[in-house]
Amino acid sequence: MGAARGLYAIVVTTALLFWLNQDSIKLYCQQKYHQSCEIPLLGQMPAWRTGAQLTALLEARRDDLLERLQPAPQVVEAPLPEVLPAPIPVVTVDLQTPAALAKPLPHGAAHTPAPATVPAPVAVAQPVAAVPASAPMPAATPAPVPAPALLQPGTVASLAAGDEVFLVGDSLMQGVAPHLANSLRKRYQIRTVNLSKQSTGLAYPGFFNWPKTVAETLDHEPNVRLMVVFLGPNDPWDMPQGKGKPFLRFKSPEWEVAYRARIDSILEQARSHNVQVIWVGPPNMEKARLSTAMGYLSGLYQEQTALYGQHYVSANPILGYADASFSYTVQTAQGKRVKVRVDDGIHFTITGQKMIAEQVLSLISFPGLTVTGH
Amino acid sequence: MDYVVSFLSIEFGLCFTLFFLLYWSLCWSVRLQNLLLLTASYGLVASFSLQSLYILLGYSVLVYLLGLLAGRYPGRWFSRVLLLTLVLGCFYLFKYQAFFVEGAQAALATAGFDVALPLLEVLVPIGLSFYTFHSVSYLVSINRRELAPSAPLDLALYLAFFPSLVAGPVNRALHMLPQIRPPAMRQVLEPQRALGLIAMAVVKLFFLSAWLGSEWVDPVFDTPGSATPEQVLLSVYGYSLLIYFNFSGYTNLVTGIALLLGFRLPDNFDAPYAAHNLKEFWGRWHISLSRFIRDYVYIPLGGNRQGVWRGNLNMLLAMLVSGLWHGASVNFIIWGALHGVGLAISKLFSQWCPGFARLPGSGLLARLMTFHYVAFAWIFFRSPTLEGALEMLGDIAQLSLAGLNSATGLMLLACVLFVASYPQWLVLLRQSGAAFQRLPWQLYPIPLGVGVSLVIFASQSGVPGFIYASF
Repeated sequence: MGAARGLYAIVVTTALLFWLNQDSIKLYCQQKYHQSCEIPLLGQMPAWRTGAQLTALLEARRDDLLERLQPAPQVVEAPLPEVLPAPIPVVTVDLQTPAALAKPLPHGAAHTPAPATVPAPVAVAQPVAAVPASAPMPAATPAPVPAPALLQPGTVASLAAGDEVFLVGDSLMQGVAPHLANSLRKRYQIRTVNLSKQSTGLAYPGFFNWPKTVAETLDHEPNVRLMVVFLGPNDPWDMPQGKGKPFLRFKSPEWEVAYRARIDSILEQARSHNVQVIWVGPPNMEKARLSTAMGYLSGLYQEQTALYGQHYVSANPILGYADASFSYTVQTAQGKRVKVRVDDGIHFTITGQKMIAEQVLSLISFPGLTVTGH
Repeated sequence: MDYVVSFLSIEFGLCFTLFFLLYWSLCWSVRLQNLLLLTASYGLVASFSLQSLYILLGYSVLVYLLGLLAGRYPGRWFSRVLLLTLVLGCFYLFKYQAFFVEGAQAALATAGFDVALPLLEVLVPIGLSFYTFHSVSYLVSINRRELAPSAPLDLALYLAFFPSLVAGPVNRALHMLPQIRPPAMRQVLEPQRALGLIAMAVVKLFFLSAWLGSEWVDPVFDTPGSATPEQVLLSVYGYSLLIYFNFSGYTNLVTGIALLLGFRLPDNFDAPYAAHNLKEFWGRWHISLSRFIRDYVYIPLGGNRQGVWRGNLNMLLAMLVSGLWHGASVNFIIWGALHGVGLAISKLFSQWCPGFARLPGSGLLARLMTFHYVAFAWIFFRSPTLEGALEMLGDIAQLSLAGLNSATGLMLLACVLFVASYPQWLVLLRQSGAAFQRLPWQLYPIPLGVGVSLVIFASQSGVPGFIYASF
């Protein structure tokens, strides 16, 4: 009978697919449901694991082949980095940041950023407020922030001819990135490297590892002088801390330490490559739980960015949100209501994307670069 | 964070397997099967948003009442007016409000009036574009006395049937309702072909369209002006292939799912880039939609019965409606207009030069010209803005021989050769598909599972989106 044969075919095909793709399915499940996703009993049987090993073997072969096919790495051909203007003149103008946060940098973070794959709670730049009063403060090394130079009023970063901009983020950034890239290229002939990728964040390095990607990109792209980071909505969940260990609860102290460490390792990479950072905080969301979580994550981004003397800007004022408010539309200066968020209550309309891109651009000064075109 | 249900997700696959088991264990009762299908369909809509479900329920009630009215007074003017009001009202409220209000405000502002017109904040309900069309077919058939009003639950399932709810194909009441009330026990239809179609969808969506998107298309369309003229042209070719793979892959998928549930959905694609002219193209591309537009827009407008010019005008209007249906933006309207004008030109050409088709090589030339015109129109379809589309056209105008002498040039040549040799590929593909279907059913799942795994292995991570789910 057709139905029985159909069922047989579906079950056998599904079993085969799960057998061969069990590792990627597990990662997908962890990233989406925030649990360890081990299949009881079956998961550890050698016959079951063979499928994963087969795939891993094939993957290794594929990567080998791709590596051999690739031309010599780009660094070799890239021109040596030019003599740079004073590295990263950055002023944090955010008034909400306690002044104490902006200056001292606990020295652990300056030297050993925690590798994101092993989110062990070590060497994390702790904001002063989070350190128990009784704990001895680590010897603070002053952040190597040079004297502000050449910054036009109101801007926090500057770019010169030949500099490039690196865009990091999730689907929020994917929407904003094209507008940023277009304006930078048309107005100032500045190239961008856009690696934004949907469903990514800092909570699931097994799925996508931003600290590692940032490190590799900055190594290979010596002209990058500014990095714009915009992510968050994929992160407010329990996260894995390694094989066989329980998940870290979202907002628990351990979670926060691990998450701060990942922010730090991105900022640390930027510092060691003389790259300025503008970290854009995610805006309020329609769903209350997600929105509160964004407020919490934004606090972490803001504090860590300040510790590294880099710049943080929240997307909320750009979209006209005060406090925890959310609206699909915003009133423009001309008094018109325009839609800035799409129906999912998370992403932006083209208008919204452009507003954020413009705001980020307005924070950058381009001494010596003339505006061309429109 | 994508809330649109993806029929290719692991979760859907597992749920569907359970559903399949339950559904066929109820095969002794069509009524129970239908109830299960309806529940699943509503569950799927609710998983998108509860508001979408309420709107679908409300809409179904209205269509049911209108159906009763039309059954009582078939063909009377008021039942047609009510139908038109319902459909246009829904489309305006949920799809076009922002577009028209913003347009009207801008027009008034240039005339010196600064007014804020009311704008309701509503979300586009999932599937609206498709179930409104299903309801048109139902009510028109009743008005034409081809159909008696259905029982409420049958009608509800006809409107909400989940495989074709999100992105079509556009069903017809005369084709679908008899399948909801089959005379005999329902059967799984062509199980091997159904699974083959689903596997084909994986290849087209995960592998081909995702790869084309990230490698050739998205970087150029997102930031036009940053690429060389050759890369821009390649992205246009790429998008023409991508949208075919994406949409026809999606159709393969839902057709396969429907076959497994014992339903036959209408054909939607038939090798569109093998068309020799635009008319033929529309007979091969999104067939269920173009037939719908023909039967419910073009012919009621008068079709070609009132002279050449009026016929061409009707065609243009029909294509504009098709463009606007895809989305409320100037670009979609331009896309529709380009197809309307193109259809008229191609019709005039075949009247003026009836001997063209007999010239040697004319078939190949006609196919290549049709492909390029369609690709040209896709630029407007894909570009987020009008300026972006025009900028890309400006870039393509700067193509040079020196630029074509490059790796990109080789890929362009490969694309043209692929389109040129498309009929041959098609024959090969159909033969291998048929050979695959002849495998004994006990063995069939093994090459299927391994093949799909290989495709996933070669593809990028992440679940691909369905372009048509957003229309």
